[in-house]
Amino acid sequence: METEMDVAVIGISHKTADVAVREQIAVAENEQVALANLITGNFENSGCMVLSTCNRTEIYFSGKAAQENVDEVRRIINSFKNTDCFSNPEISYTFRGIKAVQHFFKVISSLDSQIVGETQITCQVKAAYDVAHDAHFTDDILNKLQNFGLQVEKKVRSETFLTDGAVSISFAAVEMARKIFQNLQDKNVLLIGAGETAELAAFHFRDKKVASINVVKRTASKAKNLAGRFGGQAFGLEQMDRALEKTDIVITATSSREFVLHRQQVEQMAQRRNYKPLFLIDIAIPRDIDPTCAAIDGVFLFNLDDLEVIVAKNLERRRTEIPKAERIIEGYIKEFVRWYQTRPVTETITRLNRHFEKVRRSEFDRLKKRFPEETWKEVDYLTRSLMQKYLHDQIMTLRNSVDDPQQRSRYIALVNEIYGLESVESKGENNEKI
Amino acid sequence: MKLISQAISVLLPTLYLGAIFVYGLIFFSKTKRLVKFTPFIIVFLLLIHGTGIVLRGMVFHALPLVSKSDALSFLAFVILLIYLILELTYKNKATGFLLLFLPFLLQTVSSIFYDWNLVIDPILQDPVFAFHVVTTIGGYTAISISAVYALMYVLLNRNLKNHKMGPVFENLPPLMLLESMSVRSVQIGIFLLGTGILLGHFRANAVIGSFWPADPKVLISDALWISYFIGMGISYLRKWRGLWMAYLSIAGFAVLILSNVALVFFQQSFHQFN
Repeated sequence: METEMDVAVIGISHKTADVAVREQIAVAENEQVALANLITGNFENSGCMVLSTCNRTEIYFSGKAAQENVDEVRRIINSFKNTDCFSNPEISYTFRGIKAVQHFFKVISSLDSQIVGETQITCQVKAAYDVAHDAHFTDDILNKLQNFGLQVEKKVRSETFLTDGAVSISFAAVEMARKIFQNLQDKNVLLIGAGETAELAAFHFRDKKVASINVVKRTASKAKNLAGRFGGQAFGLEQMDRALEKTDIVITATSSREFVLHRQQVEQMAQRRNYKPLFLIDIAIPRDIDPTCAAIDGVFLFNLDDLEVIVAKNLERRRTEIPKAERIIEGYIKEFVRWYQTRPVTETITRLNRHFEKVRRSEFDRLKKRFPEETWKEVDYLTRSLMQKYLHDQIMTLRNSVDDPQQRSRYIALVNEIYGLESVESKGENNEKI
Repeated sequence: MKLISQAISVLLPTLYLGAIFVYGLIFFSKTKRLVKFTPFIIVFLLLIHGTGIVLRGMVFHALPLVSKSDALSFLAFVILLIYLILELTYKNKATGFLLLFLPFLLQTVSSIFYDWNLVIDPILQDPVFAFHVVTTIGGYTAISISAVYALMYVLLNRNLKNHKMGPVFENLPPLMLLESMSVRSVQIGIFLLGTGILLGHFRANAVIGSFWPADPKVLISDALWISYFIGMGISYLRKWRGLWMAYLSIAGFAVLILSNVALVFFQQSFHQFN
């Protein structure tokens, strides 16, 4: 794969720079258009796409800008963000050709993400592409790159376990609940105490549209604010039994030194519920729920350690899937290279067809009066057919030269010279949206 | 035709085993690529199995349910059909690994004991008899499936309780879904088996002049059906659920199978038409 490709990326990510630097060089959506405009304005027949998330800022560019002008593009980016970060090799990176393509495929399929397998990055890349495309800053190379990238992402997601399983404590709690209950929409959640993880879990449950999220704190007034955020009821500790009524999922995260939920309480609760499954999530240290509750029929108790084990297992599993994903990426890189190699041939064939059609059309218009009008359709058909016959061998010769770079260049140059074809396709002709 | 039918009967256990292997790969998370092909595998298996049943029916010019082997094969076919519906409805492929063992075993036993020189009793060509057999087998199928789902419930419940996050945990559908699938299956089973038994009584009255013949198979089938019906009624009234219901379903199925096996091997019954 020695093909020189006019595509490059300059970037800074969580792997090379800390959050302070990433904040400084982030490119807002309205700035993305301005930056792409600057780059494509400086180099005609170039494409540009700016991807800026909390974990990375990357500028992908193609065409003339990516040929011998990478340093100049870097200067433009630095100047635009009023920084020299993009020139610092310790915190920034530049990939050209195949390496840039590989990097893009890794990014879009979340192999390069901070948490491998997170799916948000795909949406962010799509959004960045949409911004660039809508402002007409993408060319056929970037369009194809995005097209292939989405295929890579889809295949990685459907054929590997890279995106499967929860990788945060809060989401692991939701995943466990979904393993117990058929659906969460008729389930009531009770949050006892508060803490970042517990609140996050409650927010995840809210996203799953649970029936209600109520909150218990030392006093009802303290619980009111948090309960309000979930649209639930607030209870004080003394109202615990009332709060537990009709609850299916309990999340505890108090700083109490003693158990907040005792076995007897949970036993009564389970009995009242006729031993319908009851999911208890104890993410407090020290623990809030008597661990012997786990022995009660229909009660499923998970503490912080249990959830951490699940998360670690899922992360490990994702790591083991990386080679599979990389193999998929390698396959698509080959396909992209193949497309790139055929690109000048395809363009030449298109131009050749267009040139001959132009000649045929003008001759037809000039000479058609010599034929009776009722035969024009047949004459048009005949000339078109003749033209296709004459061109067939030339097109086939061009197509067969795809695998031999020297022969390919020679033939393309020859055809261009003989027929006086334009050497460059005007930008935007292949700018079809993915 | 007979040769093709015989070839299919030999081929079917191998095909079932192949399907179990594919589902096993999915169950143990070895591949994701095969997931999208599973409905096609089941449909292919159904087509081959269905063709085998039809051809055997054509060979003997009678319903393909005239011997124990035929009944077992038909039972395997119906389980597979119901499984396909469940897989497409609940979008869960993993239960296939556990559920397909049942039709595989039934078909293997059936293939081994197929009799290719059957002499068909004219009684077996009666349409009421056919309906009796189909509904009874349908009932047994639904009860078998209920027991398999109950077993899955017990396994998943145990894994959740012990925080074991292995293939069982990862692949089985939610606990409450397994419970509702098991209960629904047993309800359908009781209805179909009841219909089949009732039709059998009417048919016995017409053929041998006794609505309630003193036949061990009839008596045991009636007793089992009444036990299932009462069991379901009590569990509904007392709101039994979860593990209790799962154990009840598994125990009921075990009694059902053991009593039928005992009948086949140790008792004479007028059901032995051939």
